[in-house]
Amino acid sequence: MVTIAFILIFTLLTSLIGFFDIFYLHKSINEFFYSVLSLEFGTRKWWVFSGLFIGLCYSVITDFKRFRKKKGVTEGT
Amino acid sequence: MERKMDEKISLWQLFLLIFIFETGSAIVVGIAGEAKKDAWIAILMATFIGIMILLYYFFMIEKSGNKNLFEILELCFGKYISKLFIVIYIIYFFYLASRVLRDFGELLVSTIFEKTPIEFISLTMMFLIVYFLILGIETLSRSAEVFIPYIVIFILFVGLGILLSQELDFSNLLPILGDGIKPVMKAIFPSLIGFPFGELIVFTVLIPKVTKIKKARTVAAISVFLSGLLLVYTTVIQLATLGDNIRNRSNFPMLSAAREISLLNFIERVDLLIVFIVMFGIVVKVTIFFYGGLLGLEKVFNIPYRQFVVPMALLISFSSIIISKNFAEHIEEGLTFVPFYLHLPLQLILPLFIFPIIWFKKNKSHDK
Repeated sequence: MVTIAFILIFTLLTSLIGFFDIFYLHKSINEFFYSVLSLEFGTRKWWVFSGLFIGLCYSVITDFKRFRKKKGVTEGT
Repeated sequence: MERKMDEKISLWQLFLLIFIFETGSAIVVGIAGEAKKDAWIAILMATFIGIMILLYYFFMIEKSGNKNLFEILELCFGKYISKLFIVIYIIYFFYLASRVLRDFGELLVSTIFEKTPIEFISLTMMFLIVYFLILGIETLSRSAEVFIPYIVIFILFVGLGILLSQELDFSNLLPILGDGIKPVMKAIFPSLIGFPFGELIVFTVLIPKVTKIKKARTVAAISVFLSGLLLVYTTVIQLATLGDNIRNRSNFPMLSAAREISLLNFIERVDLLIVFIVMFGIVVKVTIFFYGGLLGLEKVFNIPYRQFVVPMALLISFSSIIISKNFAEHIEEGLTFVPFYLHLPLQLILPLFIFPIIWFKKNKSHDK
């Protein structure tokens, strides 16, 4: 569930930022994608992108732990 | 480490959290620029409107039987539809946390860490906030108790320092209401109502955690009033030191004003005190927005909020970077779109709809 929450919030938050950029700042979709979401050469944006990846991995591990704990309870171990 | 599931905060801690939350980023980012020389009047008037908004939130909480915002939404819209509104509020709180974090990153990058990448500042700041939230909101409240004397003393010192440096020119504030009341009203609605006063909507999540909830209303109102006075004080300093023209063009007017301090050719560059004040204010603000969003996630997914802390912190750090290309774009979004499309509906319109629904539902249950 933590992974689902992570993906859901990521999608909605990025959509909101994209919505403002495209409809109110009048950026083209290409411009939004290349300037905001892509890893531009020479910037440190990859730090936050790797943070995002770590966040996703952390969510998957948390879910896995919860699943094992739940399984342990139902199997009586 | 023992982690309490049922967190409580005292009245004094609530007072401090509201005070620091309100003044946090509003001190450094110039507010009410539309009102020009009368910015301080606009802030003073907005403070009273802010108190009324806060009292309405309290009224809503009391009528629903001391429930928090998410529980109130569930009471009004039922178990399933309420989840949609809760998710909207979660996104709103996380978006605001990202905005505040970006404000702080830009401040640091343009003042003291000129060669440090903003991504690094964003990530390290979020690590601190993760630590606060894993230990619980009580830890943040106690830290506020420790830091508040420094914040108040530093702010008073900056004002006194500028006065003694003979940089204050109160004629910059004249004529009062020279352009009439219209620019003041324009500054109040919707900009000042939304930021910083309407942002108190996030406290509807925290207020039910206060130990003596009956007295919380008065304490919170006093806190908003005093924070409004502090904002008036800092705005008067900015206007009297810089004049309305430079103030409106400056990204961080309080910082520019503090740079004017020069006492005995010895005490200089005290703008770092402003960075310190803002640093703690931003930590409190981001933590509270983040906490509000996390409690929403807890409600939707029925999982303890601490399990969401790390992934969501990294997500906020990411969105604080992609939120805009540069600081000018960030400010433009904050002044033009956010007040109309986010603040107004989620701080005022939706809460105004909630009360009649609570009232109707209560009457219906009485009839039965």
